[in-house]
Amino acid sequence: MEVSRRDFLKATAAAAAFAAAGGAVLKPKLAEAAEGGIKWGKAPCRFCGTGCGVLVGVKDGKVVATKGDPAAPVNKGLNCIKGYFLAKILYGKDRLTKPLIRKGNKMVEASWDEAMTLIAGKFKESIEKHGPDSVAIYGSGQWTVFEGYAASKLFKGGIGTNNIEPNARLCMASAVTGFMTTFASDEPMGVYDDLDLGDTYFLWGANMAECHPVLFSRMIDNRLKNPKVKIIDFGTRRTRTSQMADTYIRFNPQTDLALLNAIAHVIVKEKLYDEKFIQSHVVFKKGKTNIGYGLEDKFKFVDEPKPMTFDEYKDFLKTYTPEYASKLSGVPTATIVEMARLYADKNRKVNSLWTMGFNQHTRGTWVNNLVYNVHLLTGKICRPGENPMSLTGQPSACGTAREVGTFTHRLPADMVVTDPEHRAKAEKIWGIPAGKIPAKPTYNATEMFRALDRGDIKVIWTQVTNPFQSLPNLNRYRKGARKGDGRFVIVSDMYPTKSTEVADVILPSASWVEKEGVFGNAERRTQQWFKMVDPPGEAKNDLWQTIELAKRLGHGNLFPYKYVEKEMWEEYRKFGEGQGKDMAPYEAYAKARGLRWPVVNGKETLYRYAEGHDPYVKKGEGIKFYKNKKDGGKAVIWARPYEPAPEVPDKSYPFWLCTGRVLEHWHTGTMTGRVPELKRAYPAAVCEMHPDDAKKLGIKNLQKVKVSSRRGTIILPVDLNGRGKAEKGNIFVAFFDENKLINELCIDAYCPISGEPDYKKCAVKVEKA
Amino acid sequence: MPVSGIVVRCLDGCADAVSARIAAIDGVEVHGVSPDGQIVAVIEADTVQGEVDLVSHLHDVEDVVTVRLAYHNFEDI
Amino acid sequence: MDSESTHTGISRRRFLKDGILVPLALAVAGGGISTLFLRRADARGFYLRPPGALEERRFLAACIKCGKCAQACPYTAITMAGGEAGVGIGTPHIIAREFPCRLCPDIPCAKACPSGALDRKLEDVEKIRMGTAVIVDRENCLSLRGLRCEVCYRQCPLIDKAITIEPRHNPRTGVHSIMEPVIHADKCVGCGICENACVRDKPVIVVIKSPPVQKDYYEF
Repeated sequence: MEVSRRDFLKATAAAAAFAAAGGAVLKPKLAEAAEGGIKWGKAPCRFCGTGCGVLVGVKDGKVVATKGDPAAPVNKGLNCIKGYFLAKILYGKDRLTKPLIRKGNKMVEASWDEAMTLIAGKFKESIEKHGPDSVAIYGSGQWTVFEGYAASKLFKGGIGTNNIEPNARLCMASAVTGFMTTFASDEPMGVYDDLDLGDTYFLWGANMAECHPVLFSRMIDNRLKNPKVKIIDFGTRRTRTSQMADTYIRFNPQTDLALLNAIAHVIVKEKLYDEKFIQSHVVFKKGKTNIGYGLEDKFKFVDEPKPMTFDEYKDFLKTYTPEYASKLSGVPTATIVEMARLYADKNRKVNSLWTMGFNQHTRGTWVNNLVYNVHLLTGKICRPGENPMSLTGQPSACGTAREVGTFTHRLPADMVVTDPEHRAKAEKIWGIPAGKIPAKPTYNATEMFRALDRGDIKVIWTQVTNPFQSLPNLNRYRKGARKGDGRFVIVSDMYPTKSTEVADVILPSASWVEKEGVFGNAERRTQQWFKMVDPPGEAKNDLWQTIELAKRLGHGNLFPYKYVEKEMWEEYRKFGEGQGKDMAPYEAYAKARGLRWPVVNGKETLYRYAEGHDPYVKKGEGIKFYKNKKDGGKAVIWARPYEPAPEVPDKSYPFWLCTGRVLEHWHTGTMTGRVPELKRAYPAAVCEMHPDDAKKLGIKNLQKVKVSSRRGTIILPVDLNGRGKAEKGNIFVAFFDENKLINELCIDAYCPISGEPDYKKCAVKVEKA
Repeated sequence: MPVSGIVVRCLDGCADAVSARIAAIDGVEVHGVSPDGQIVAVIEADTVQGEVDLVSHLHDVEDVVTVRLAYHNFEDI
Repeated sequence: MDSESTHTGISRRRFLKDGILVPLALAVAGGGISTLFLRRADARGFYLRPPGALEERRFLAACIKCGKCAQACPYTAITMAGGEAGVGIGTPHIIAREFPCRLCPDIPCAKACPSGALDRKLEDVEKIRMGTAVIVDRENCLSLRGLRCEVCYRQCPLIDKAITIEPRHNPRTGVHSIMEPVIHADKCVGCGICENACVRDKPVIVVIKSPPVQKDYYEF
C-alpha cells in the first residue's frame, strides 16, 4: 500500500477531526489506510546494512506496531528479532526529551535556544582562537542521507574544515579503499539476488547467521532448493554460520592475507585463470610494503602504486605456496588447493561475502584487494550469481557515509577533497566561493579522538553514534574527552549512553520514523521514508540541529530550502548524475521500496560494469570497469603480501581477543538494550573460550574471569559452550554491553590505507576473577 | 501546503445537506458525519491565507453554525 | 544482569523469612497476580525441581525443606514454594521464566542437599533431567513464522545437542528459509533457559514434565 506524505497528513488530519467530533467515526474515507485505527507507512529497518523493509503502524501519534513489508524485495515480509521489536526502540523510559547542559558535575535542563547559543559560542570561540580545524563533527552510518549531507556541507563548505568523520570508519572504511583501489568506484557490482542465483559461497570473517540474519536465511534457502550449493566459511571462530555451512575452515588470525594469495597461487600455477578476461579487463599493480599500523599519533601513509606485469605478479605469488600458507594459517595444504579449485571451477557460480573480519583489519584494504584478485583472475565477477559482495554493518553506511562521503577525505559520489576538480564541482553545486573546501584531509576517526585527547580539537559534536563505547583503546579517549582546557563535547542522542556521560551538552534527538529520511543499504538500494510520529518532548531531528548551528554561525545561506529533505535530495543528486552514481528524483523513492543505483531513466541497475545491466557500458563492451579511467577501464589486481598483526599473543598475553556482535543486539546496545524482550534474551556479554584453554587455567563454565590487555581489564563470566565457539588460543567478547566495555582492551591500530581500526585482533590474558 | 482537519457543526437535521454542499467546494474532503450531526472534513489549500479564506467561506455556507479546527499542518509537501 | 552473589551476607534466618514467610503471606493474602502469573507451572501440575531431584512423589517424601539448595544457588533460581503448593509447601522449585537453572558445572544445589532428595552424586550437567522443553504454541513462535529469532536455540546451554535448527523452505516469500528450532528430548535437561529467553509475552517454549520413556519394538 502506497501512502504518500500528503495522504498520511490527511489521514492524520481526519483522525484528529474525528477525535474532536467526539470520537465517533462514520464511513471514514481513508479507512483502507487506517485498519483498526492503525495507519501504516513504509520505512527501512533502523538496524543493519541488510536494509529490510518494514511497515510502521501508527496510532494516536505513537508507533504501535511494525511488520515486515511483504512488498520489500530484500526481506519480503520477514524480519529478524531486532526488526520485530523496532517499535519498542522509540519508547524506552529514559528517552532524552530536553537539552542538557553540564554545570559542574550535573547535567541541567536547558532550552534549545540556551543550548544552541552555548554551542555556537563555543564553535565561534574555538574557530577564532585556534582555527577551523579545532572543531569537528563525528557522525554515523546511521545518519540519514540528509543529516550526513548537511553536516558535510556545513563543515567542509561553511566552516571550512575537513574535520568530519562517520563511525563507518570503524566498520566499512577498508571495504571503501578496497573498492577504490581495485575499481576506482565504491560499492559492490552485485546485488542480493546473487544469494538466490549462485551455487558457491565463500564467507570470510562474516557471521551472517547473526549479523545479516535475513540474508543468511535467503542463502540457506538457495541451498535447500539446489543440492549443488556449497557454503564455505573461513573464520577464526566457530559461529552459528560455521555450524550451518558445508565446510568450516579455521585459520589463525591475520593469515587470511596468506590464504588468499595461496589460492591465487594455485589458480595461477594450475592455469585455472581466465586468460581472456585478464587480458581485457585487468591491470597489475603493487604498492608499498611494511606500511605500519597507525599506532602513533598523527600517523600518515601514502601508497605509491607501481604497475607490474602478469609475470611479475606470478613471481610475487611464488612465495605463497599452499605449504607456506598452511604453515602460517593452520589450514591443511590440501584444503587450500581444494578451495582454489573450487573458486576456479568453471561449472560453479562463485560468490565471496565478507564483513568485519576483513574490514576491521590492520591490512583491511589489502585483504579486500586480495579477494577481488581471485574473482578477477577467474573472471567470476559482474555476472548474475557470481560476485564478490562486501556486506555492510550499518543501515546507511553506504547511503550516507560512503555515497554522501562524510569522511574527512571525501565528497559526494566518489569524489575526494584532494582533487581540485572535485572540490570545484562541489563548490559550484553548493554555491560557495571557490577555494572554500580545504584540500587536505585532516583526521580519520581514531586520529580525530587522538586530536581531542591532545587538545588539537577543542569542540566536537557527535550525532547518531556512541564513540565513547565503540572506539578501540577506549580508556584513552574517554579520559581525553574530559581533560578540560577548552575541550567541549556535544552529544546528540535519543538515550543516555556512555558518550552522553562525557558530554558537556546533550541534545535530545528524534529517531527513525520521528523524522523523514533516506538510507542506502549494502546492495546500493536507496530507501526513503516519511516522518510518521513526533519525537517525544523537545527532541529534534539531527538535521534541524545541524542547520540550526549553521544559522547561528552565519552559514544559514547553505540551507535555503523550504521542503528541506526534497530540495536537499535534488541538490545532492547533482553530484552523481552522469557519474555512474545517478539517483532518481525524490518522488520515485517515496513510491518505490528502494531503488538500486545507478538509476538512469527511471531504471535501477542490478549489475554494475556489465553490458545489458549497467547503462554506462556500451554495446559490445561486455564488462567495463569504466570508473577506473586512469587504467583504461580495467580493474586492478594488487600484489599485496602477508604482514603480521601489530600485537600478537606472547607469554604475558597469550590469547587473541576478537570482538563482534550478536543477533539480539545492535552495536552498543543503546536501543536494543531498552527493549525488555531483547535484554532478557541476551542480557550481558560473556567471554567465549575454548574448553581446553579453560581447563588448563582451571576455569569452569560460567565462572567469572578477568580479561586484560596492555590497555584495560574487564571481568565477566566465561562461556565454554555458547553460540560461538572460540578456537584454542582465542577468546571472543561481544561489544554491546555498556557494563562490560571490551573496547577498552582493543588496540587502536588501524589499516594505514583505510584508517579502520582492528577490533578482531589484540593480545590478552585471562585469569580467574 | 497546509492540511487541516476540521469539525463542522450545522443546524439540526441538516448534516447530510451541508455535507453535500461543502463537499462540492474545491479543497474540501468530507470524511464522515458523527451520530450527533457533526461533520468531519479535511481541507487543503496552497497557502495558509488560502486556507483561512476557505474556512471563512465555509462559515458562509447555508445552515453551518460553526467550523472548528482540530488539526493543522503546514509544511511543504 | 549482574548476578554477583546476591545471596552472600543473608543470614539463614533472614533467608527463611524471605523464602517461606513472604510467599506464604502472599498466598494467605489471596495469591496476587504475580503469583498466578509466575506459577504457570501449577496449571500443568508440574514443578521444575532443582537438578538431581528424585521422582516427584519420592522427592516430596524425602525433601526436608531446609532450603540449603536454594542458598547454594548462585543465581537465586531456586526458591521455596509457598502455600499454593499444597503439600509441597516449602519445597524448592525453579520458576524458569524468572530465573532458570544455569547448570553450574559443579551443581552446588544438589551437593548441598542433606536428605537425598537431590542426587548429590550427580557430576555431569548433561545428565540432569528436570523436565523437557517443548514448543507449546507453534502459531506464535516467531522462528516458525520465518522470522530470524531462534533465541531459544542460541541461548540453549546444550546448543546443537538439545536444540538444533532444521531449515526448510519458506513458501510465503519463496526465497527465504524457516529456521525451525527442534528440541531433542533425549538431550534436553530441562533447565528452562529457553523458556526464560523466549521473546514472546507468553513464552512459546516451556519446560514440561519429561514424557515417560516408552518401550520401543521398532528400530531401524
